[in-house]
Amino acid sequence: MTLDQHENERSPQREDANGAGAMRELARLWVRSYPAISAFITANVADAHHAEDLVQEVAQVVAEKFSEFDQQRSFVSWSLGIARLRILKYYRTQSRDRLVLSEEALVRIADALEHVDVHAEQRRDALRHCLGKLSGRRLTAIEMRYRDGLKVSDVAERLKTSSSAISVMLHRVRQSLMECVQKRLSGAETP
Amino acid sequence: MRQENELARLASRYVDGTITGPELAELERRVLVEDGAAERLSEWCLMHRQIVDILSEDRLHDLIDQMLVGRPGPPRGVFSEVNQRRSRPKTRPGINSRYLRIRAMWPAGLAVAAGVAGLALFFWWRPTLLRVNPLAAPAFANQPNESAAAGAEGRAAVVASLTQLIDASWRSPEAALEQGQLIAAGGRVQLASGRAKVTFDCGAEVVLLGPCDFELQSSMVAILHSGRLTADVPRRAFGFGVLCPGVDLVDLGTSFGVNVEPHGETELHVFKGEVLCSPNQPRLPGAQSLIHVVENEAKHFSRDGSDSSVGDIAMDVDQFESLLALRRSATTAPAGLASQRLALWLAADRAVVTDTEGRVINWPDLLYGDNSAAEDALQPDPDARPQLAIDAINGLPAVRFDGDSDFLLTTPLETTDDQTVVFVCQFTASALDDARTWGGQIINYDGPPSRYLSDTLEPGVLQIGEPLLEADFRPTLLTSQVFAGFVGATTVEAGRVDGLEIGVGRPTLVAYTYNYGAQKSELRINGELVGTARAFAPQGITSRKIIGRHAWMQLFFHGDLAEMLIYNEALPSGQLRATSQYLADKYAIELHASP
Repeated sequence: MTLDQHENERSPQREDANGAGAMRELARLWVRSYPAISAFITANVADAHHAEDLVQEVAQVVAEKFSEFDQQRSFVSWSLGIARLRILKYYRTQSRDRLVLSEEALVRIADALEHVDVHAEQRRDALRHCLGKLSGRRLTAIEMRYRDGLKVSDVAERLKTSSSAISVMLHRVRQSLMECVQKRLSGAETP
Repeated sequence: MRQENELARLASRYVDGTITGPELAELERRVLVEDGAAERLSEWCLMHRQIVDILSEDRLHDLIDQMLVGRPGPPRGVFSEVNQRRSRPKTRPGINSRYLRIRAMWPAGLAVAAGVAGLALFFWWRPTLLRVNPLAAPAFANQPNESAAAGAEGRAAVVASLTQLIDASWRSPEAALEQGQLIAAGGRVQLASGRAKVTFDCGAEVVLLGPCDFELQSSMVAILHSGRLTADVPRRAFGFGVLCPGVDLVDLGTSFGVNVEPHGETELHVFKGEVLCSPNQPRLPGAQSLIHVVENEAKHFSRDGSDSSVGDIAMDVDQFESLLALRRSATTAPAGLASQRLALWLAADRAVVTDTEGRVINWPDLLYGDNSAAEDALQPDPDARPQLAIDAINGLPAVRFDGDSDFLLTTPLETTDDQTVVFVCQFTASALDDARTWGGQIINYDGPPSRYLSDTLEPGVLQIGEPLLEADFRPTLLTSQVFAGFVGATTVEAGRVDGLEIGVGRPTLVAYTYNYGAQKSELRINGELVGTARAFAPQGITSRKIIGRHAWMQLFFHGDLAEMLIYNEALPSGQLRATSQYLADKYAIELHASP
C-alpha cells in the first residue's frame, strides 16, 4: 500500500471526497441511462405500478453495486443486465398473469435499446410535440393508460367500450405517434 | 410494410399485457430471427416509456407551480434544528452517511431532463423550495451556556426527554422544567420534591425522587450529584453510566437503584442484571479497580472511593418503591393481544397525562409482553397538544388531532425492518373541509433529527395517512408505505398500499404489516385485506416516531386516535387476527374477513 492509498483509506475528508465523486459519477451515468432502463422495464411489465417499483429497485441495486461496476464496461449495458434479472425474478415470484419474452429475446432488446438510447432526448422532444396533437377520445385513452396507469380493460370500462376496441385504438395512436416522431426526427415535419 | 405493421401491432399488445400465446411466439421469433426487429421493438419500448414520463412530468410541473404560489412551508426546522450540530447516527451497519450529500450535488434541471417518473422530484425539491416557515424550536432544559443555546449553531445536542412529572417542585424557579421537554447535554434536573422521569435517547429510563441534583452529560452518561434514582436500561442502552461522587456505575443490562446522600455517600441496589462499579477517586493501595454487583445485591461506597469504605449492605427495595411504581405495566393481560415483539402500545383510556385544558402532554407507552421500555409520546408545546376527547369511540376516550397544529413525538424507539402497525382511528368533520388539498399523516417514523433520504442506503421511513400530494389526495383515504429515499432522481416507495376512503366519524381498525423478509406488505382495514405490495426496502432504525403529522411538511391528521400498537415483526396471521379482534371488541368495530 502506498502512502497515498493509506491516506485515502484513513482520511475521512478524502474518503468523503472520493465517495462524493463516485456518487457524482453514478448520478451522471444514471441520468444518461435512465431512458433505456425505464423503457426496458416498462415495456416488459404491463402493470404500471409494478414497473415503477422495479425501476426503483433497479436504481437501488445499481447504487448499491456501483462500487463493483467495471468502468471499462458500458454502464447502460450493465444496468440493463440488472434490470433483465430483476424482471425475470419478478415473473418468477409473481403469479404469472401475463406472457413475457424469453431471456434471449430480452437480451436482444436490451442490446438494441442501448443504441436507441443515444437519441433518446431528441425522440422525447419530438414525442412531446406529437402528443400535443392528440385530442378527444384518443387523448383520453392515452392519458388513462399512461398518466393514470390503468389497464386496457379498465380504460375500456371507463370509456364504456370493449377491451379489444381500446387495444386497437391504443395501437393506432401509438403508430401515429411513432410516424410523427420519425417524421420529425428526419426533418420531414417542421416545428 | 404489412410486416412492419404487424410487428407494431404485436409490440403494442405486448406492452399492454394483452398479447396471446401464439402472438408472443411470433413476436419472439421475429426478435430473434428477423434483422432489425429487436431495434424496432426497442424503439416502441422507448416511446412507450417516454409517454409515461412526459405525461407524468406535466403533472409534476403543475405540482411545482402550486408550491411556488404559496403552500404551507415545511416545519422541518422544528426537527432539524434540534440536532443541527449533531452528527448523523449510523443506524445500520455498513451505511455510509457521506452519501447523504448526493441531493445537494444533483443539479435540479438535470433531474427533470432525466424524465423522472411522476412525482419523484416533489419530495426531493420540496425541502429547499419551501423551507420558509419553521415552527419554533422545542424548549430545552436549563443549559450551562444560555447564550450559546440562543443560536442554533451553539445549541447542544438533545440527549433525553422529561417524560413524566409527579408533584414536582423545583430547587429554584430557574430550575423548573416542563413535562415533555427535551433536555440537552449539560441540562440538570434539580427537584426540591416530587418525582420526575427522564428517558434518555439511548432508551435508558431514569426516575428521580426529590430532593435531587441530576446532570445529563450525554445520551449515555449522567451524574447523580445527590438524591435517589432508579434506572431501567434496555439492551440497546448497554453500557449506560451513572457517575456518583464516590463511584462510577456502568450498566451491564439492568434495573437498579442509587441513593446519593448529601455528603456523597452512595448506595447501589441491583434489582435485575449486573452493574459494574468503578470507585472514581485516586486508587488507594489495595483498592479494587472494578466491582461487579449482581441481582439482589447492594453495596455502599464512600465519597473517597477507597476499598476500605466499600461494603455490602442489605438490599432495600422499599426506599425505591415510589420510583418503581412509575413504570406502567398492563395490569391485566388483554385477551388476544399479541405481546411478542411489541415495541409500543398507546391506549387513550390508560394513564394519559393532560394539562389543565385537557390537552395531551404525555401519552404513555404501556409496558406489556416484550415491550419493556417506555417510549412515551410527548408534546411540550401547549399549542401543538392534541385534546383528550373523553367519549370519542364506543364511549372510550381518544386523542383528538385538530389537523392544524397537533402532534405527538415519542422518545427514540427501536423499530425493525419487519413491522406491524395496528391502530384504531376515526376522521373528524374537518377532514372534509373544502379547503383541504393535501393529505395528513397519522404516523411517520422520521422523527427529529429528520433524515434527508437522498439515497436508499439509509433505512426507509414508514408512514401511514392520507395521500400527501394534491394530485393523489382524497380526504380520509388511507395509504401506507415505506418511503425508501432517492436514487438519483428516482423516488423509492416500498410496500405502498392505498386503501379506501373511510369517511368521517367511522371508527376504523387499520393494520399495516411490512414483511421485509418475505418482500410483502399488506394493508387491512376493519380486518379486510385491501391491498398488498412489494416490501423491498429495509427500514430498521431507532428514531422518534411522529404521531399526527408528516415529518417536515405541515400536514396534520384530522381525527381521533384511540389506540396504537407497533410490533417489531410482521405479525403472523393468527396473532394479527387475535389482536384485531381484541381492538374490534373494545371499540365495537365490525370486522370483515378477507375472502
